[in-house]
Parts: sequence; structure tokens; C-alpha cells
Amino acid sequence: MLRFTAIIICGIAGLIILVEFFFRIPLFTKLQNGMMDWVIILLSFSYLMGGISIFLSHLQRIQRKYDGWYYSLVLVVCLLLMVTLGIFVDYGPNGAFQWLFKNVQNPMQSTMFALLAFYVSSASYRAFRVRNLHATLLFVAAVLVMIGKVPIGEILWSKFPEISQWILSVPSLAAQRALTIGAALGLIATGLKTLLGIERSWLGK
Amino acid sequence: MVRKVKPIWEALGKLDRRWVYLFVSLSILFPLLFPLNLPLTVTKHVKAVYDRIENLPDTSAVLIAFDFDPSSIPECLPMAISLCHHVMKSGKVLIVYTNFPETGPIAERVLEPLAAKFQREYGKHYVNLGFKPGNDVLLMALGSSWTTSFPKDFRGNSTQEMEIFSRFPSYRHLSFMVDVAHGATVDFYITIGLAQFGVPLAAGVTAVSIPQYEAFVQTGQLVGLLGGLKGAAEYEKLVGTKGKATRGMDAQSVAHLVIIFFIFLGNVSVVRNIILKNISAMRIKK
Amino acid sequence: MIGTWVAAFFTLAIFSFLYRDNPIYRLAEHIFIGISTGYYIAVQWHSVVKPNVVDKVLLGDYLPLIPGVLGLLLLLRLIPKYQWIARYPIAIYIGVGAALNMIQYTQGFLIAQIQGTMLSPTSINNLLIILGTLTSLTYFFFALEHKHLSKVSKIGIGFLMLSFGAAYGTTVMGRLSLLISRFDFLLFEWLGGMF
Repeated sequence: MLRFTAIIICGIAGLIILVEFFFRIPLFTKLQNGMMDWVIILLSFSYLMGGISIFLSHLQRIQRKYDGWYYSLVLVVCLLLMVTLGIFVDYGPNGAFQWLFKNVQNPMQSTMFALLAFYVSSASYRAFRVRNLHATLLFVAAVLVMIGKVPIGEILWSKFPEISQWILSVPSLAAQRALTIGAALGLIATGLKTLLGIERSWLGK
Repeated sequence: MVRKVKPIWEALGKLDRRWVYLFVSLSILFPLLFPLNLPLTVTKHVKAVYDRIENLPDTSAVLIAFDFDPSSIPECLPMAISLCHHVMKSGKVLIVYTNFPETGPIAERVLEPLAAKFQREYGKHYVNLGFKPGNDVLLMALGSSWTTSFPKDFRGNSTQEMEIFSRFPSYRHLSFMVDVAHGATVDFYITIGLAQFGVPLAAGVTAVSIPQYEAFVQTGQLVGLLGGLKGAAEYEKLVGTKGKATRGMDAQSVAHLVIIFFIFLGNVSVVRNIILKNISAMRIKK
Repeated sequence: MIGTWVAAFFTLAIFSFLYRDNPIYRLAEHIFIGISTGYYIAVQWHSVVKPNVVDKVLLGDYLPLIPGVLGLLLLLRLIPKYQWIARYPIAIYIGVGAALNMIQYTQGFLIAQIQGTMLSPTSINNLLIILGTLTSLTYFFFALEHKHLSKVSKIGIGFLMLSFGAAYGTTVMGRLSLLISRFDFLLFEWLGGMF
């Protein structure tokens, strides 16, 4: 019964959006606008839930003295520090909160993704082997796009940028379009299944 | 014990990964220290975005969505800076907001110096609304009003009294928007912003997303496309500035050549084996 | 100045992982998670909870209390005994999301992309786009046994491989840009600031 109620709520919420889209009834437009504002607030609480969940799991690691618990302690202290600074002390652009964001979070997040440059280079060297026709097509497209998308490509041969753009806007586009159409069909079908209560994985156990 | 020496063509394909790391690092460091100043050509996708903004009437409002986080600042921030520079310089109204929690202060750091340079007044000529979650849901809500979803801007000012929102009360009143994005947010602006509210758009995306969005340029759903650091460098060239994107282009060029070199190196033994196989097959035939 | 040094330290700490996993990297990683989680919580408070709920209620508009309470119910997901209550707020945004997806992807993606493929077959490029889209779609067609479509779908795989190759090329391009930016920071902002 409890699960059924949740499915009904889900269906009604979706129905309001669909009726508004197809019939533009003023009452439904008002309902839809109100519901959008509610969902924004709900999504914000889901971020908070994520944050609290991380906090609790590391607190548990400290309490149970798991391997490397001292790292969790550092994490919890940093988390509490940021929350205190951001909510109770100074959220402004010149405060400690934004300073920590700019000089600690920002460079680390950028660097973590920059590490991928090394891994992708190493993967290019170790895994890119022209063993058959399909692998050769992959190889040729990758090399031509890489060379045609940088200024030096144009200096080496003026046609490289054109060839690179042609790959992107003709054969690659065709395949990407098939993927887009496939993904769109999948999303539409899943949406319909969810609203009709056939897809229930979101309810959990 | 006799150590078995690998043939050179096999050894070339099995270098320690740290050699690759070293050469890639050097290929970036040297051009940064000793710039080559390679010439850069502006592509038609980037020029189309520039022309669209340039040809808008002065009374129009443009939205630049800062939909990226620190992980993609290197590619997206130079695009966002050049686009805001262009909109402000050309005298159009600029609205900025983000779907990413980290990017409100980053937008603020971009807008302040530009506003001072072009003497643009906050709340009248430009505004930074900051972050709000919701993605597509938020965009649907913005179709009826900016101020309901954003009662306050990034600085904490009430948006109700701002002149900008009495002239352009909702998303539907925009003349153009550019989503500078590192993820799938462009999809929402295509499917809601354009399809439902009729606001034309372009996108500035990370290099990874270029192939995906080419299909939308071909259909005309995107007016143009800025792709990766090169797209950003091209826009810098169009607005007449030399920022970090332009500075990074030489390093990008040399690093690409080094990676291509390593790809070929890794394939030496594979190609050798294919040639040997074909030769032996021909001999058997004879 | 101190900020640049701090940023440089953490940049190098993360780069140290390239050699091998080490305590400095681990420490930096946990500081990063702590700082960013705390940052997200504070930003949610200032961007949504305070202006869209608390401030409005304090001004006498009590309607935002409903989503506010629903949001608090969402937090019950963290308590196993009361997890089931969180299903109701989740149901609202699952319903809204599902309906929005259906509208958005039909109108903005499916129809527009199919229209974009209805090209006049007067040029080689147009023919390639039509052929590539149809054959690639065939590869993902699972309603019929593939032995009937194997030749067609093999052409599709060719187009897909070209596309994945192009995507690989642009991925290399993107990742290198990120590395260039960090080196740029270390060279010009940190070391450049010292000398």
C-alpha cells in the first residue's frame, strides 16, 4: 500500500506536467510552476542528504578505528570547518570560506582531472593497436582529429583541419546521431514505464 | 644466467609508462616557457557564435550559463570570459547563472573586472544570479519568471527590484543564450530553452563533447559551437584578447604530436608482424 | 601569496599519485572531500534553503514550508527504520523528471534529429550521413536476430568506430588542456611569482 501510494504520487506529478504541455490549461500551468519550485527545493535537500551521508560514514570509520581512520578525522574536521565558515561566519567573496574554495578545493579538483592526461597518453601508447579493420578506423580517426584540431596541424598540411572537421561533421555525426536517437527512445520509454508504475527500481527495497 | 634481450621493435612497444609521462610533461613545459606563436585560424562554428552576438540589437539580453566546475575550468573559463567580454563590450544586457554549486564565485571574479572596464552597472546591465539546483526543472521554472526561482542574486541582493528583470522578466525574453558547459546541460537548453521557449542558443563545450554536439549544429539547433581550449582560443582571437587559451595552444600542439608519436611507436611491432605475415602468405601462394 | 603556495602544495600533492599512492596524496584527497562536501552544504543553504524557504516563511509566506518539510522527510533516507518515508518526496521529482524527459527528448532530440537526417541525397556527404545513421541504428536493433542484418550492421560498426576514434581524439585534446592549465599555474603563478 505504501509503495502504491508513492507510485500514485509519481504518476500524478508526471501527469500534471504532461497535461500542461499538451493542453495549456491555466490551472495546470500554475500547478506546474509551483511544483517546479518545490522540486528545486527537494533537489537541494538531496544534496544535503549526500553531504550528511558522507559525514556519517566517516564518523563511523573514526569510531570503529578502521584502517586509515585518521584520514577520516581530517575529512570530518574540514567538512565541519567549511560548514561553520560558510553558514555561520562569512560566506562573502573575501572570507575564509571562499579562500579555502579558491586555494584548496579548486586546484585539487582541477589537478585530479589533469592526472587523466597522463593516463590517456599512456593508454594511447599501450592500447591503440591496429590489429584489424575496425581498430584501424578508430586509429585513423583519432590521429586525424588530434592533428587537425591544433594549429600545428594546419602548418604541417593545410588540409588537416578540413579532414578533421569532415570526420566530425559527416561519419562521426551519423554515428552520434544514431546514439542520440537510441538514447532518446530509451529515455522516453523509461519515462513512460516510470509514470505507469512498471519501472519501480527507484522505490528501493 | 643469460639475460634475454628483446628485439628493438618489441621493446619500443613496451616502454615504462613513466617515460610517456615524462615526454608528455616536457612537451607541455617547453612551449609554455618558449612560445612558438603558431598562427590560429577561426573556424566557422566559432565565428557563427560571434556574429550572432555581434548582430543582436543593443536592447537585447543574452544569457551566459557558467555550467562547469573547477575540473573543467581550463577549457570552459576562457570561453566564458571571452563571451562575457563580448556581450558587455557590445552593450547588450548580460545575465549569468550556473547549474553548478562551485561556479557562482567564479562567475563573480569574471564579471567584476569586465564591468569596471566597460562601465556596466550591476542590476541594470548585468547580473550574477549564482547557483540553483534543478537543471531542466529549474529551466522550466525560469520560463515563467527569473525572480521566483532566484529571489536573491549571488551577492544576496533581492532580484525583485532589479531593472534588468522588469525588462526581461523570464527566460522567454532572452534574445540568445550560450551554455558554457562541461556536461549534459546543453541538452536542457536544446530541449526546453529552444524547443519550448524558442530562445536560440549556442554552446561552448569541453573537447570531449565536441563529437556529440556536432549533430545539433547540423540540424541548426545550435547556432554555433566552441569546442575545447581551441574554441576558447579562437574566441579570444575574435574579441582581441590573448588569454590562457591562446597561451596554451602551442603546448596543446606539441603535446598532440608527442602522443601521436607514441601511438605510432606502440604500433611498430604490430605493423611489422602484419607485413611479415603478408610476405609469408605471398611466398606460400608462389 | 599564501593562497598560491597552498594551491601549489595541493597541486603537487595530487600529482604525486603519478609515482605511486602515498600518504601525502591520501591526506590531500581527504582534505579535498571534506572541504568540497562542506562547501556544497553551505552553498545549498545560501542558494536554496535560506532564500527559497526560510526567508519566505519569515516574511509570512508559509507555502514553501511544504517542500521544506518534504525535504526534511528526504533526509530520513539516512535512518534505515524510517527510510520508507523518503519515498514520497522522491516520488514527486521522479514523476516530474520522467514526464519532462518524455516531452524534452521527443520534441528536442528525437524529432529534430530524425528531421536532420532527412537530407536530399544529392551530395556524397548527405548520403554518408543517411547511410551512417541508418546502419549505426541497425547495430542497436535487437528485435531481430542479427544474422539477417549482419552486413548492414557491420557498416554501422565502421561508422561507430570512426566516431569513437574522433571522440578519443577530442578526449586526448580535453585532458591535455587540463594538464596545460595546471602547468601554466605552477610555472607562471607560483614559480613566476617567486622570481
